[in-house]
Amino acid sequence: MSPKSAKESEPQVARDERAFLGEEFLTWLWWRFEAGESEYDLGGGRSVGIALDGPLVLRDRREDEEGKRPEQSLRHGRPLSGVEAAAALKRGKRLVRARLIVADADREWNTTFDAETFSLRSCSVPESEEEEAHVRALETVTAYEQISTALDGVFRTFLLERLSPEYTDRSLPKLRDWVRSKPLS
Amino acid sequence: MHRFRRSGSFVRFFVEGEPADVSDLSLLKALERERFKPIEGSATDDESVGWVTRGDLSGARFEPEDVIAEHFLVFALRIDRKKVPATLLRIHASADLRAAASGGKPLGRAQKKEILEETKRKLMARALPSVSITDCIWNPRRGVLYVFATGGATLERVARHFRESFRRSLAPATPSIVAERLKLPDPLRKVMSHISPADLVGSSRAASARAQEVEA
Repeated sequence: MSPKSAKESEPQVARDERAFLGEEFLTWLWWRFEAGESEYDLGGGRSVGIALDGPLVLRDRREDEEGKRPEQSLRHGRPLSGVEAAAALKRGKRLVRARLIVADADREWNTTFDAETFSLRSCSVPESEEEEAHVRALETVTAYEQISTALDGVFRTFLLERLSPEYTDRSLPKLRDWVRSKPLS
Repeated sequence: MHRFRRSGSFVRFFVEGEPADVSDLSLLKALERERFKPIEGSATDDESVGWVTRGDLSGARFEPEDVIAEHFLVFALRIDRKKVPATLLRIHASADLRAAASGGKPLGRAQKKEILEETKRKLMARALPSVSITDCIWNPRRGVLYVFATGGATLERVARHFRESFRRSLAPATPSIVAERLKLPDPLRKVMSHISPADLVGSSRAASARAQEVEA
């Protein structure tokens, strides 16, 4: 019953040296969404569509003199198409948090995805149409796993592209063109 | 199984060790063994941490049908904390010290300390705890635990209690760890080990200067 001493807690999680892959993943989702390529085949007959929305959080690639990476939150209006988001991207900032609407067949999840921790905030899952309470409860529990595995599947699609030898010559130039094409006025 | 929330914020952990099955009764027994024990009325315990079920948040009952849902185990970590407000402790302590000294004989240091401790125990027994409940969903077959919290202290608490209950550590689902579990082809796994951030902007000094203006 009595608590163990605080110092005896879980070992501190080492900082993920490749956390930038989460940020690149979310920025890639944004690009694909605006390019009209936001349908992802997850195999096994399952596919999902992912739309992005605000609020957005963008973070500098580099740390400032205090060792922090300055962040910018964009909440109002339509932040995805706003000049602030375009300017942030052009300055090399990465998307680290955004609202995702994930659709799988006739069901829809709504959540805020954190690219650094892969956590899902304020995640609402599809309402079950089952009448029996315990089946409804099971469907709700399963729905949390389904959105996680769906995002894992899409992350895998991203990694197959990002880690391939053709990334630098094929995908990266397209991504840069998209960043450059975003209007600043 | 009882109704489960239709929305919430959660973090995923990967459970180390061999996959298990919900039918493995040792998992349920471990939950029950490390269940929540109330501290209401206790004069000495200021915190209690333990597992409860959605069907009985008191921690008294651990029915399999409340915990097992197909291939998931659904439970929650309850943390109760009691604290005596400092000002209230001061008020009661000075009253108790005055009462003890009313005989005219000055109180010694040890006596004062004992009176203060007794006052604190008396108030602690009457204090009501603050209660926090953190929902968890564990898929032991896939080795994934979903914890419905995002605060570091709560997540650490869940991880610690989980390790103490099941002798299994948890690894948070960071991009690297998720990537490792995605069974990427070997050549790509090698690329992954020495990858560096991509420059998504490219070199365009004029565009960058204009962007700086807009940001400013």
